[in-house]
Amino acid sequence: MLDAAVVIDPLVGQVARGVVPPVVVAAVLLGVEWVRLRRVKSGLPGRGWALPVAMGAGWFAALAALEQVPPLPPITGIQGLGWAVLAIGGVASIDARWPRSGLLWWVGVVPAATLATAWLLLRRLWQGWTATEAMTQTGLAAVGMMGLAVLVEIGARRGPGWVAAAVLSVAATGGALVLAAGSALQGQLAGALAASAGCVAAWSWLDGRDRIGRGASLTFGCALGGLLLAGRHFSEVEPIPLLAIGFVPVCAMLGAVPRRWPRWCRALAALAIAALIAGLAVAFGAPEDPYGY
Amino acid sequence: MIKLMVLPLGVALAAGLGPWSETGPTGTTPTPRAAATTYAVDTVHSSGIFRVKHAGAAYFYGRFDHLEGDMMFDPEDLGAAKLEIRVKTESVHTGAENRDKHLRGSDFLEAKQFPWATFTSSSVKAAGDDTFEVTGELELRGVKKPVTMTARHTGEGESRGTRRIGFETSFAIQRSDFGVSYGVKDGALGDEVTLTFGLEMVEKE
Repeated sequence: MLDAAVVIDPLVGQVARGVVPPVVVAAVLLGVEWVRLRRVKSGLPGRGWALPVAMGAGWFAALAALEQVPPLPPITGIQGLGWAVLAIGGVASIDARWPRSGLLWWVGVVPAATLATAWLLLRRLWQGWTATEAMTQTGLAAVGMMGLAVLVEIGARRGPGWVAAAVLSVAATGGALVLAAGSALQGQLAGALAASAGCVAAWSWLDGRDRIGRGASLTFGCALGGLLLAGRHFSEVEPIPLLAIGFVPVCAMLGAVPRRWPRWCRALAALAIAALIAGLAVAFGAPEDPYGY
Repeated sequence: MIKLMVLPLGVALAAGLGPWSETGPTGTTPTPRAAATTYAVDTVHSSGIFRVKHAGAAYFYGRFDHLEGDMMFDPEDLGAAKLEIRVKTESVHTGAENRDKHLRGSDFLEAKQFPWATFTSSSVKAAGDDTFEVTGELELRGVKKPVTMTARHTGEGESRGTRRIGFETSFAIQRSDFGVSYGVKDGALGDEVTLTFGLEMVEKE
């Protein structure tokens, strides 16, 4: 019997393990939602529940496929990030299905989720930091993830659902290429996030009514924000490309401006600007052949 | 960080004692113990190297430039022997700068999060002439696993007015046991890593 490693090219195998699990998980969850929508014609409560959990669980599945199912309690920062994103996806899904007040979400859930994610990601570095540094770095990380989630949410509200998701996919793809310069695993995980966002984009385009909500925004913000922070803290990737990638979602907002443009023009403009910024970040952030040894 | 407890077995055997001896040769009279001597790893004259197979084809070798640790032993009581070795993960070098950076990152050693790899011995047994079976716990990337190795007493001497004894050990681990699984599934890089340490221990004042 032939070994899979012999049959499948290693590079193809690595890409497949990063991309296939999110696509499969998203297909299953969004398929369930599709069946539900077919039965309930209108007045649909709790729309969008599948999007955050598709992102969170799909990304977690990729992490498990690329490495192993992360242990509990997590040991490394990436493992902590994995559990955090999975949990946030779950909580966000519940919030989408049975919505609570926006105040509780933005003042309670979001700060708690981003702080917990930042702590799980960076706690191993606390041993080398002073108390002030630890609090500052963790707090800034949480604020960054929170900012990313807010920007995604604003962009998603102002543009067509599939455009926002597509922009996120572009941002995560850029993140994958930048992060891969320092860590193949982190790059693959950003690629997995791009696959998740791509599935959501396809779903939003097909359905036409389902869109990125606050739950999916938070899940994405913590996942991509966490990966970019890991790239900076663990792999010493240059900060400017990481910042550019982190704020690419701002371009989602540009899709709605100027409003007099036809909808498809705004969508294309948003994607073009996002792709341009991501491309520049990749050009400046990914050195020549980091694995050329 | 590696902690090893190693004893000069030859000395102990010459004295007619085993590491397990809490009593004298007759088994009735407690044997007086010599004061335990403590040693520190000579960081300049000790070496740590590793090898791993690349692409299923050939082994390549790398080294850790920074080792430190301590040893304590009583020649009359192998059971009291202890050795701790600590390896600074940031000090890995393979002769290729990009590869070194990759090894220090998230795909392998996670040097920022786990600056030390540590071996801590739990028991030392005689394994033959000048050799010992050392059992302990290896902590790598935050994962602790039991490891057993054979350590050979390579000699004793003096330099710069301090007494020194030497040991060498080589043992293999499965890196995926420690969560370092990058490239294993693809067969790009072997799972088995052989670690070899040549330790020169300097007697402490």
